[in-house]
Amino acid sequence: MNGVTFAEAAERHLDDVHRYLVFLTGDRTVAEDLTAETFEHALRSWRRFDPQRGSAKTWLCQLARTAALDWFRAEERRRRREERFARDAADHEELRFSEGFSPALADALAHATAAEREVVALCVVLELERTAAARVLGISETACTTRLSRALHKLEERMTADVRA
Amino acid sequence: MSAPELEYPHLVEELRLAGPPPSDELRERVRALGARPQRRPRRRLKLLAVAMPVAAVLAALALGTLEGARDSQVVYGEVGAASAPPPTAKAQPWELQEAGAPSAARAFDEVDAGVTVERVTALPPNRTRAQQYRADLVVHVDSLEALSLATSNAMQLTRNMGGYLLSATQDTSADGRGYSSLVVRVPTQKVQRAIVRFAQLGTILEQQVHVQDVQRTLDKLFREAQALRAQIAKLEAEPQTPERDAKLRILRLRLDELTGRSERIAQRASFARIALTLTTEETAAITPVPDEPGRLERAWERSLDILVGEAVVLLYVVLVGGPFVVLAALVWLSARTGRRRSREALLERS
Repeated sequence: MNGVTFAEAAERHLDDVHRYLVFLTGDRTVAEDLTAETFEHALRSWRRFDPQRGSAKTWLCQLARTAALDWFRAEERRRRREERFARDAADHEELRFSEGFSPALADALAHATAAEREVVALCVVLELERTAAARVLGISETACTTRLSRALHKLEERMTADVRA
Repeated sequence: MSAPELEYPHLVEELRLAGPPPSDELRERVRALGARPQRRPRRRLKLLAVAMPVAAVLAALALGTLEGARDSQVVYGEVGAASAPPPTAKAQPWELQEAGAPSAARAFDEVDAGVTVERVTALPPNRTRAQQYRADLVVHVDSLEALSLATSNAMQLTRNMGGYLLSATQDTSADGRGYSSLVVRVPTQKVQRAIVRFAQLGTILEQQVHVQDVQRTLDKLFREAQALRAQIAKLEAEPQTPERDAKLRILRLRLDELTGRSERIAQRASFARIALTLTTEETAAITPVPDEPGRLERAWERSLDILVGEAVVLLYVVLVGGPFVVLAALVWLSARTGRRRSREALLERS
């Protein structure tokens, strides 16, 4: 990884970052915006990237997470403003996994929290090593494994319940 | 703990296949970012971490060299074969008269056994300034017997002036040749008299004198010590706190170091060093035994002093600033934990 350029890292990990943000936010449009924002930030901070401390994929996921958290905070403030003005609060059903997901999986993901979707995205979808995923989440490896186990169990239960229904 | 992925293979497979790819527009946008020129990463912190101690050492060496050079006002005096008529009488054992001996400030003429010896000039020490005084003498004696006598007289002279012998070497051969080499220390105020007396042990062949003024250094150390005493007195008047006690300890350490150094320099200046060579040879070159620190050694010594001073300042900063640094670290850790919890809660709500 020593000597990898930003262009190479961007080309190699664009899909990973995009998928992570799709899982995290549940909205493809938002994920696209946040992906672009993540790579813009990465370009400005590329000098600080140290390949000896972790892979470019892990580092980019950390930046993407920061961007997503900022978006979540902004969304929460927007919802509170809307509630104050007695408009309908933003419905969690706005969260859609319509494109590229089966209906059962989309429904199960929609009923999971962002924290649960995030750990699934990092460990299962992006196949990050547990150490790297834990670093992105800012938790221990054990906590990461536990969180993943609960998330997968919840998704499986929801999907099984949908099938039965 | 087994990997949870293994428990839900179908779900995992579906998750890995799910999700839309990035749009072409996004791809182009990111590629355009990659085409921008990229600056090389700089290791500022690492360079800084290496550069600072190196700069501190270089600064100490530079200051030490400059200050060592300023202190040294070497006055080099060399007297060629100062001629004196040989005594008309056979050399007698000297009767040493310490009581009422003339002061070193006056050049004097010795009268002994009816013989008047010409005045032997020597640079008088300065009475008002501390100076490191060093002299090298070569004196010719007629025979091995005279050599032996002159050697013991020189030692006795030294002792009676309140001085002491540093080293003595004597070597004689069957053909009547020989030499004695003595290195003695005498009180600086008596050095001129000592030189004259030693010269009178025979015929002086060569004389070299070195004087190094150290008063400036002593004055500077004195001023620094006075300033420290004032600071200590002011702190002692304040109410007792752990920070005040820590500051006091540092200041007292520094004061001890300064007074110790000052005493060492004054001690060295209070005694002059004389290297006396007595020889039966008529021509002999002085090979002074280096004893006093040379310029490089002075610079090194001063640099070490500066480095010690820098270390004391650093210790002061650590002791006084330490509790605040710990407090700031605790606050930062607490804020960091709070931020992490807030992020977790946000993700749980979303």
